[in-house]
Amino acid sequence: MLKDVILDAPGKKVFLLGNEAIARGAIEAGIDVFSAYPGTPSSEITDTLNAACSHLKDRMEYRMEYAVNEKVAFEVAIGVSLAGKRGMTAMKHVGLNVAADPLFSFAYVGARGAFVCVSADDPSMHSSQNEQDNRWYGIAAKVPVVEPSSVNEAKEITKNAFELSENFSLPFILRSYTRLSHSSGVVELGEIPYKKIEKVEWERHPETDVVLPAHARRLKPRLQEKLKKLEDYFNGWDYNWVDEGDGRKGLIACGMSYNYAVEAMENLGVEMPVLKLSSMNPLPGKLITDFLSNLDEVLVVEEVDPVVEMQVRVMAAEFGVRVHGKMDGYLPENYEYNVSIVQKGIARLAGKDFDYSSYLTTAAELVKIAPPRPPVLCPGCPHTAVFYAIRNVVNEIGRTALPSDIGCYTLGINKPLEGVDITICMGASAGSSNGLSYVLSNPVIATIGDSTFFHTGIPPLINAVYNGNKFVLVVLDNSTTGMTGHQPHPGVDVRGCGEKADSIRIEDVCRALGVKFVEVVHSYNLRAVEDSLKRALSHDGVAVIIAKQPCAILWTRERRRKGIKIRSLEITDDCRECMKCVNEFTCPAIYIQEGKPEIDPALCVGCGVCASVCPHRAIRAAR
Amino acid sequence: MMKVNILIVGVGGQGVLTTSGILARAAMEEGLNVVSAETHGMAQRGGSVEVHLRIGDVRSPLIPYGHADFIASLEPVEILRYGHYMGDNTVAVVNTRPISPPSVSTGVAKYPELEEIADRIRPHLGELYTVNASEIAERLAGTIQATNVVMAGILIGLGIPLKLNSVEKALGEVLPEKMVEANIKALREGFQLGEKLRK
Repeated sequence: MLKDVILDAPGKKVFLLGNEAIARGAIEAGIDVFSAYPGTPSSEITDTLNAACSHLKDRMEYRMEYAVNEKVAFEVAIGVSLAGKRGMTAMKHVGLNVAADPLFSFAYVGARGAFVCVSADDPSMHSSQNEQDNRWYGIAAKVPVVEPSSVNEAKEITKNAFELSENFSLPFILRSYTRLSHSSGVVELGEIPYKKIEKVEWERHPETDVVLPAHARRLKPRLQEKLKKLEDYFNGWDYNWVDEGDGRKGLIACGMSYNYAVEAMENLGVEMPVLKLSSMNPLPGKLITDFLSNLDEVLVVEEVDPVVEMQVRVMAAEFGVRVHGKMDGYLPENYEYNVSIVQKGIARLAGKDFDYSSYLTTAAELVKIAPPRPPVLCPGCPHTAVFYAIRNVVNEIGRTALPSDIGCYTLGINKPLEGVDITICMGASAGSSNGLSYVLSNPVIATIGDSTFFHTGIPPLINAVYNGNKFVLVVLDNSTTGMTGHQPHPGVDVRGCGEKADSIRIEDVCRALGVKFVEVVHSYNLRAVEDSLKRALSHDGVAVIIAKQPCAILWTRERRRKGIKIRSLEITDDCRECMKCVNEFTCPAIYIQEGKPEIDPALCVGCGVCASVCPHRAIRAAR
Repeated sequence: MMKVNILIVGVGGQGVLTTSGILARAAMEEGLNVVSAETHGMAQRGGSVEVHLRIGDVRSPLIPYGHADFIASLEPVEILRYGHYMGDNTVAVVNTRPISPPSVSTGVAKYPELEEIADRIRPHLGELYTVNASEIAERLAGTIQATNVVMAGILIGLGIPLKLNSVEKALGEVLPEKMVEANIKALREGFQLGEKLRK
């Protein structure tokens, strides 16, 4: 909780979410500037620093901002670091793809003030489009990667990464993942420093900071020297250690997997030596080879890819040690680990029996009679109304390509709306529409959120105007970044620490880009959205419709705050049970009781869209 | 070495995360180690939610398969999704008020009878209790939203190693002030029910 994150009580133990612990680590490190674009599972780092910043104003000043995208956020933190101050950014794993360009070059330049980038992976893809392992970025870009094993360690290692970044003049990646970011644990608080934001004089260092070829050629061997020094340091780092054990079989356990491994050994009653690793790049070579030299066999436990295992296999060849892990099937290649999965691998190494398949069989049996409850668009969601209108128009005009983007509105894929045909990454709805429009004989109606529009929706729109491509882009503007927890963006009149901002109007941006057809409609007005879509489809060129209505959760919260009574809707006796509201519109607040649709007043937010869907005028505001 | 594994499941918006937060805070108040892990999908409301809460000598935030000591399901069908955590010593308590998913109203799936749910899961558990926690919440706190607190009370009554007064204290820290009194009533009623079930 926020009050624990800002608590000034060194030594006190509090219960924090992993992401709150990372935020607290940054506060204890005296961070100067934090910049990020939200992305699950990293978002609470940003939200916590956002909520904390006004509370800490007279104690530990820092600036925090919501950036338009991860590349910009990364570059903001670079600027801060090169001026000699402490910068940080946080993003989900795929966010680092967006920021990969500055990442690779900044490694050559090196940090001056501390630079920490939190990359939150998502093993098992709980809320992501892929399962990438961002430790590869550390190896590919020659950037150090550290990986905490617990919530308390997340705070400590964050703080430590700031110091190491400055001591070794290197940018650092702190690898978190869902099971660390969204775990809670007991954290021992350290000191919150007294600090003002102090502006500094710029000192130019073009020989390192300008990566023109002659400079870059000199910088690369220097980077490799720095990493070598860091590797020596990591051999004795506090967060890499060996737990002594019996026999000539051992484990190398990385980050959170260390906990799974220790519990699994307890359950099995075995005590093998364990090398716990939290430095993923560079690996502490001497520590590992010393450990291997006492063993015949070792099992490497890590999530997601065999990043450490591959390197350990090379090191182990010298000692004739047999290495097990993902590559020989001792542990699964895909999805996140837990105690049971790791225990099975350790049991095999130890020559013991352990099989959890009976639990999974039981589970598969039970779940068969449970009706699916996939995530759905909320009651009153403006996206539902717009997708319903799009579906009506598509039913009328025939086959239409419907690319969409990353956000709550991806759920528009669900029946009966079926308004999403393609989702790749942020901004790809408009990007792929450019390509589709070249080759399809059908119309293209793309959807994108307002936050995503600012993130990466603008460049493909410029491309469309310039190349004369023809498609309709519907901006689903709910005036927030909905899926990650309602963070603001440049279209909203508030900034990171709650300051007022000049909002940027999407329609103005589109017109300035040269889009000739720009219309703004109210999302709940089905007729207006449908009419606008038809006009847009007949426009010769790219057309943008901005369908606007605040996110239902924010809208309801705002009305409650103002003391406005929320009037739910009800279904009257005029209902002829045609089921159009259920089968075509699907609001989660509408359910069926004894064959007749009913509206749950606890869920209904009073948007009234169902009333305009009903052909018999049988839905009205409850009395 | 004490180790207690509690799994709390329900539907987004029911207060599953709040419940585990309150219990975790109480555990810390009593000087116990505690770790939790929350799993929630893409949507803000209406999806399945699970929280693992582990108290005592534990490290992993996730409960090993077959090792839940307690399962509290705030919605009847939700418990069906967590068979892999059930074992011979698991004590489960299920709230009987259904929240029908859209898959049911659109006719894609059928909502099973409560008796069927109970019959299916009973063989995989140590003990199973079904309770109308939502009714208790409505009666005592005036809102169905307090269902989660009633369920927390039942868990304490059933024997999770936490004292009622430390949970009340944690509840006071987590909930808005004007909601605390009614929720404490709901918590106590749940506690008494839990104690009665245990006998």
